[in-house]
Amino acid sequence: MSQPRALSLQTRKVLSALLDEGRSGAHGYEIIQRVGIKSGTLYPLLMRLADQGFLEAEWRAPEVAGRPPRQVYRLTASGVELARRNLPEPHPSVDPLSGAAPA
Amino acid sequence: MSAVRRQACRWICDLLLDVLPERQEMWAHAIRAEADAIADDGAALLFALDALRGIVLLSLSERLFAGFAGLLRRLSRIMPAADQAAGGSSAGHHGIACAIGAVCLGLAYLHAAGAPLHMLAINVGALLAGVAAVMIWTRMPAAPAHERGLAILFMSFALLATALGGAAVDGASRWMTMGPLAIQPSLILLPAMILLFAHDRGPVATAGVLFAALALAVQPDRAMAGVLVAGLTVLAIARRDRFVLVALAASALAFLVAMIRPDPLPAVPYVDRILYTAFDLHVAAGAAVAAGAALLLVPALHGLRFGSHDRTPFMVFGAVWLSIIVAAALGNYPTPVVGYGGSAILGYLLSLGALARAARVPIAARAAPRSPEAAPARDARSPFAPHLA
Repeated sequence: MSQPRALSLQTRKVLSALLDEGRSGAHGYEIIQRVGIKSGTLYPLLMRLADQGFLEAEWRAPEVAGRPPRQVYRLTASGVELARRNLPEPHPSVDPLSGAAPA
Repeated sequence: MSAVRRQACRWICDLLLDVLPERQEMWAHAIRAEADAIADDGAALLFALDALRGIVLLSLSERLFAGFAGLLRRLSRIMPAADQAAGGSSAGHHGIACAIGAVCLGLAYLHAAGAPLHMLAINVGALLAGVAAVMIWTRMPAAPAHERGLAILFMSFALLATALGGAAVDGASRWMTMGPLAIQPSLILLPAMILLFAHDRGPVATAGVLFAALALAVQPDRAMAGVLVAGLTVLAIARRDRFVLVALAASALAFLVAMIRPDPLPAVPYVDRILYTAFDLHVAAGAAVAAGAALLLVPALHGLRFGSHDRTPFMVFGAVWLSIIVAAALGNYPTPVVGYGGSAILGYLLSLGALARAARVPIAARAAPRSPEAAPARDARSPFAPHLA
């Protein structure tokens, strides 16, 4: 299992979102809406994380009858560890010099 | 309209299935299921379209990387000789990788500069032909020294034939026309010729260099005459003998004649002076051309750094290609490999083949054979010996 040297901000945001979801996991479109990235960014990222053993996928029956099953993604134990080590840095809400909130 | 969007979304998901390799098809099914679950048709279509974009880019980059890595592996298998000559390192396949890298950087420049597509195709074609030629050459058994001398002589006749009967532009006869292509034999043959001469010198090889010097003075070709002087000067510093000194004197005289004769040829777009014009176009285009030119010198630097036997061929190789680059920077001469023109690409690859040949035999084993029987004994020590069977 290899570990990426430096994670992009988007990767860290996706990992953080999946960390919050815990064992229940999240659908792809839910992650997109929550993190604010596009599907063309999300899926290659998920594919890499899964290849590296940080992510597992599971087909889950729909909550609404008549809908097809969808895939749910959740972090493996190593993925949780990776996510905890790479939490996205919060945006500064207070100017570190003046102590005032940005306009 | 809504049904059309939904249908388009399904087609895109089908396309995803085609793009992804079998082991990753699960992702295409996952994206299809996700798109089906999105209630808004427009949003579902955008979701599928963007997923396709991301995955196609990922797939392309993975395939390009795998292809390039595979090519390097194959080259490393067929060019073990130069590797061993360079102290067990990988000068051989590094050289071809440098050529590929320089051509790719040149293609990026040509595309950014708006060069016609056929120019890009010709550079790619020359690269493929050159790599194939080097593969064949380096797998062939080593020729005896007298045959190498004859090869130099025949090359010089080709240069003389170009000077006397080649295509002339403004008084300069440096090109031969082959159908729609105009090739510059001096750029193709001279670098390899100088390296062959560095490898084995004798009366026939020296006569070949004298004819080549004459041809360059007649053409006239200041740049390649200067290249000949530079290569032979470095050779004379490393390995001074009467053959080198005679050849150097003749080449210096030829260079002087070429400098005295007028050379009014204007710069050709995408070929000459692109080291300057690329930076005018964009700093990234300039950086691509400069990096491509620098890559051409890497095999020489690598050999000088890691070579364990004889560093002379690497010094000569470096001097030859550095002087070609300098000539392109100073005058209206082709910018090698990164500019348009297959001649420089072929010339670079052929000189790599000659470098691999020259560098693979330890200097102690490279004395001219006293008798025809001596040649196989020398070849048997070469890493190419298994190919002789």
